[in-house]
Amino acid sequence: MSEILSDLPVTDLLPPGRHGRADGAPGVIAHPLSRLAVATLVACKGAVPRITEAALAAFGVALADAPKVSFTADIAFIGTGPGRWLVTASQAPEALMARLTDAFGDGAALTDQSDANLMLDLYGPAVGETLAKLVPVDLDPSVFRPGDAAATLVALMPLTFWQLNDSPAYRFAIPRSFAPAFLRALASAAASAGLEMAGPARG
Amino acid sequence: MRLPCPYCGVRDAHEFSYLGDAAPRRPDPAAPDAADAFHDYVYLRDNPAGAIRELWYHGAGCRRWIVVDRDTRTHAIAGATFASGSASGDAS
Ligand SMILES: [Zn+2]
Repeated sequence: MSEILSDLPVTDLLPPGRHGRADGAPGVIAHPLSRLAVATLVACKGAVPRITEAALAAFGVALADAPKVSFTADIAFIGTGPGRWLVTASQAPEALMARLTDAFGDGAALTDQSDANLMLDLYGPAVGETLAKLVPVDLDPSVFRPGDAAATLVALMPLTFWQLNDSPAYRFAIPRSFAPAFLRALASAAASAGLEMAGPARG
Repeated sequence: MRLPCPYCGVRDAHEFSYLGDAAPRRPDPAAPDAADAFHDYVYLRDNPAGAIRELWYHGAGCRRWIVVDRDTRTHAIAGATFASGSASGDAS
């Protein structure tokens, strides 16, 4: 088991390095993204068709009003509720907000959330068995596939995650104040497989 | 028990908050029998052995109110729809 959890202050983030099973390749790799701009986009009442058209015109994105990821090479829209999306892009937060404001104008409420979440990619051969202990959503490939997203609870913590590819890799948006607790839960769930906590990296 | 959220898909009932019967409608407070009508609206509920339509809030998911058709004898769920505009005027 991961010894570090007995000494790590509960308010501290899990430090980079190997946790849990130490031999062999890590079963799970956790990769924080430090330079990903994030915003919420909430369509005004009755404005979803307008927002959908604007997303196509401005970004070339076929925006789905569903728990799906609609994306191009440089921007992704993750459905979190009817008429609501989390938007991510690898650029400065101000630049993303400017693009979104230009595209959607007064048809939507836009809020910069770049500092609000720990964005974390999870992958590795044991990511499935690890997430089975954490996520109350069926991640079997017959049910949950690349491009699927879910707003749900992990260990009573509200968060949003989505599947990036079929390796499989998943991206988690964890409310920042819950990040230490989430990482402790992750370290425990992945202890039997070995967790490699990577240092902050470019988003 | 799992509930079929119209947006999120099938989710565990623990992700939802339960409100109750979706049938009661808020009475007109200006009507002459308003006091009696509000008594019934606030306190009186049917307790059917069988089909019921009830309000649940998906607080851990899409944060929308939904109306669920449930059989109280078997917990069989016949379906679910968004509440706004259908069951409860102030639910959305
Ligand atoms: Zn939902």
